[in-house]
Amino acid sequence: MKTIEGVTTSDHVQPLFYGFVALYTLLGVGTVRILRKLFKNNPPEKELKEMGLE
Amino acid sequence: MSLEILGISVLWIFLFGYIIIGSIDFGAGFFSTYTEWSGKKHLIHPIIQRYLSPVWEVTNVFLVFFFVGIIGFFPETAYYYGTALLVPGSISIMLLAIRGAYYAFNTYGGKENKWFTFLYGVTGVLIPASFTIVLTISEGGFISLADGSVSLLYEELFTSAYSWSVVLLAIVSVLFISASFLTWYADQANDHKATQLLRKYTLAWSFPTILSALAVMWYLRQHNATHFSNMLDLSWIFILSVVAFGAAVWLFYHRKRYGFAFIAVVLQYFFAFFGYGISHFPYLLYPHLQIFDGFTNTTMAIFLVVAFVMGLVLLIPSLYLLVKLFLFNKPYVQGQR
Repeated sequence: MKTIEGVTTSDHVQPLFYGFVALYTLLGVGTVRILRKLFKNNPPEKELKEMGLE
Repeated sequence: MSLEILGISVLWIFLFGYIIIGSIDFGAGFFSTYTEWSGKKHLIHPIIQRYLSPVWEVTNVFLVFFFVGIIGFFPETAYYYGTALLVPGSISIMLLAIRGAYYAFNTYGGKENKWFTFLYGVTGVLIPASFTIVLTISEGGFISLADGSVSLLYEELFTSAYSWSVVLLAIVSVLFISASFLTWYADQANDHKATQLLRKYTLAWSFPTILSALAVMWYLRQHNATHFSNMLDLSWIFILSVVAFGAAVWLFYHRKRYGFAFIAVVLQYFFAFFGYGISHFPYLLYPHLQIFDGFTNTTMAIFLVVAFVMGLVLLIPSLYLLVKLFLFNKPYVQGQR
């Protein structure tokens, strides 16, 4: 079986592709924002100090 | 018992587990959003928030197991359902992704975004509704096999009274199962106000489940008479389901033994779900695919059954530990830890 023989016969692949691209873009932007916020609110220096490692 | 029947029984048990645990979670999300918009958030928000986080991860294990199993045991299902469910399945996955992201973003992001919370609550209702499409198309009549390719008949699907009655049953059931569990949970936490409110929700959603189940049966009779008459032959299972329902409502109404009441709700769905499954037998997809068509080879089947039973052996104790640690650990539930 070649890839081209196994491909789905559904006609709706393209709109779904754009849907997933949009979803993952949004989630990607959200993740970066959350991670930045996490480190801004609680920088590693502060956490090290709290743990008594510095 | 033949391997085919053993295989589908194990899969059906996994799906049942997913339905109960998933319903609790989906409904909890909906109630959390609903109470926020109706201004009763302060009453049940702490209970729901404490319940939601840890259990969510386990629920998807059931779903993944089910998919792996159904393709492993019955490879032909991939041919029929794989193509037909591309769109509805992808939509379910997108909704699940939004829901999963809410947990992560909300836990680590600190501030709550009202629109995201709204989206999260809505997915709690939309995900079960989109999942039901699988059961609906399994009744046949929604798939065309023109010139060798499978396609889903959207117009038939969206104009069918049967398909909408199943969606209704799914949504109502999610809210009923979830409310009944959370009543028990709030009672364990000695949170009387939350218990009262959730008990009210449970009772409000109790009879609609029976009414919508009757609607499903009524439209099934028109849509697929064979399946309906098989159901009638198995009517004792459905009677047991109604008895369990009666016991649950009686206990909730009289404010007694919420734990037993929730177990009665689980039994109600257990009987109904297995009655539906057994009467669906031997078809996986009316009228194209039977359970005995294209079953995997014996060696594969034996290994799959062993793997699944091991999976259950692993999953059930871990679920028990999770429940002990997070759900029915008094200090944790009461928010002292």
